[in-house]
Amino acid sequence: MQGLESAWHSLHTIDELAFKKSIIHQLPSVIKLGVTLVFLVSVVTFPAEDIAGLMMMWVYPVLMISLADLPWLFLLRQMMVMAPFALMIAIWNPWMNQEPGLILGSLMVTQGWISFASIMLKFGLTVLSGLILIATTGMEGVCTALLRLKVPQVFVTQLLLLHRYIMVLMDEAGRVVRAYQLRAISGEGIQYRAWGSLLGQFLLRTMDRADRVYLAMRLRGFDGEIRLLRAERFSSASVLFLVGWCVFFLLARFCNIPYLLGEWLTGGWR
Amino acid sequence: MHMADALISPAVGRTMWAVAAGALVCSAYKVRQELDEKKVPLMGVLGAFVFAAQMINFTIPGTGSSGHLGGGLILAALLGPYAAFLTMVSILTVQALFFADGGLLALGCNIVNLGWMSCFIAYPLIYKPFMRQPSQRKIFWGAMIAAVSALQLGSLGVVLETWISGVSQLPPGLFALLMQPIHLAIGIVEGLITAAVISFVWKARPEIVERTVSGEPYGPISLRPVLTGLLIAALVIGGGLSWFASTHPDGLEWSIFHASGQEELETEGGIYQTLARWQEKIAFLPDYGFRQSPKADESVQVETAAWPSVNGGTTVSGLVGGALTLMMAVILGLGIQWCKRRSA
Repeated sequence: MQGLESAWHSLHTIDELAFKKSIIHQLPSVIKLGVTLVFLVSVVTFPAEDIAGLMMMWVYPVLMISLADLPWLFLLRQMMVMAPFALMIAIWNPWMNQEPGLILGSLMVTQGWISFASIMLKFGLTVLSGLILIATTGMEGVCTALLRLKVPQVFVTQLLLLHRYIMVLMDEAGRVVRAYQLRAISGEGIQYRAWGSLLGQFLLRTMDRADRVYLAMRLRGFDGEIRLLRAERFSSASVLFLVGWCVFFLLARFCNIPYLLGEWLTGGWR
Repeated sequence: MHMADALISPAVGRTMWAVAAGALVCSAYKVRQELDEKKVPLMGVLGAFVFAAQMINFTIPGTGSSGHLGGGLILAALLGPYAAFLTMVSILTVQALFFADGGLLALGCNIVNLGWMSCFIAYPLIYKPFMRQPSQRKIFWGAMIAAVSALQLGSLGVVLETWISGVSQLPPGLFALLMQPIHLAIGIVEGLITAAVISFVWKARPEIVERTVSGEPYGPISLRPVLTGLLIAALVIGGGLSWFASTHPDGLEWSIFHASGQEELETEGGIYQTLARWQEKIAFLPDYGFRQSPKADESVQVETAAWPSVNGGTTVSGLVGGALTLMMAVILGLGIQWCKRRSA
């Protein structure tokens, strides 16, 4: 998990990105969620040795990021923050499997290294697609899609409220920690003696805030449900978007286009 | 402890999604049944509290390193298991969507490992019995043992899910040996933080802690979601794994092969031969070298048959094509951005 400040910044940036008006942003949220899920399943089912085939899947994030006008560097940075965790598990493969996998002239690459590369590529693809979904759809969009998919209303309400209060409470946590650090003699972290009282005070304040929030919502007619008002039309373009990508993913998954291309090219040279 | 999409197989992802969805629907029904609207904003705000509290560094005495709060148990202690489970799921969803912390396919795994274990195992079976007549000491040990067990179960879940997925070739024994002690240490820190917070709240506002444990107004805690979850897991794992074994024997096979050694693989040649034959029939990319050694003894060659045979020509084509595809994708992206800038 990132630190308080960088996490706050990430959340804020993604929320702002979701307000852009590109053609991708205007598509119905269910369609985008569907395409993302089909993409994820296609990527994960790629066999470990088929790295060339996996390259075809990069067309999706590249095209989506360009069409939706999302900031490349920000998304790559978000991806890199989480990369060490995938690396920690994938890095064992080269040691565990030293069977030869590829021979390039005098260079031999083991199957372990190939599956390592495959995991890291899949990691990049899956992480990017998730970020693209939220940055083009926003939390309200995702919640609208979840409601359409008949996810229980209580959970969707919870998700919306959580999203709405994260920034507020991160601000508050930041203030609590800063106040502690200004009074503490040494170190950045919270000392053992203060664990209970610092977090406990913060918790009690949070529960009081929840009471106030409830009363305020009640005064505005809250009855246990939050209604989302988003008119989403399934235009023929959006259906085409869904079908087009699904066909592309299936094609990329089952016909190894990069390999055929490479064979055609290298065959020409022979 | 969040699992990433790239490290799980679709069958494992789907199975855990089914378990998580079952528990989610059951919990949503329970929370809805209580008709306690007041809890709706409380869940939202407490979820945000845990989210923020997870980012605070707590210095571990005597080590200089720092620990963090997981939060599942605190939520269960304050909200009861059902509402706490919904809140944990929402936290994990936001982490997956905004921070790429655990993927969307792996969300089911993460919900089970991090949410289900603490809300439906550690809370009702360990923490709650300790809290029948709460005292400072009971709160400490209840929170400590419950937090440690929840994390041990969760990390064991990670090991099992990673092993069954077969993407990582780390033998499960070694992986468990790495994971369990690390999570014992993390669990102890989490237990200490949880105990400190619950003790503080109990001293300042005892009604908050006692109300939840006595089951008011959230109703008595039954073992039903636990049993329902286990049942769904058993059913789906059965169904999921059979599908998995028939279409993608390679993943499971590798991990079994690398964990148990070649001899055991050979002794079960019958099953593997059948699997290899199935695989041969349904192989997706036969021209990519899957079936290049038909004369080899299949019972021994299963392992290598899943890989394209080592062939220079195939390699070069794959590499050239792959690099070219990636390059074209990037050029496509740059082109679109260039056109946009021109028209703007």
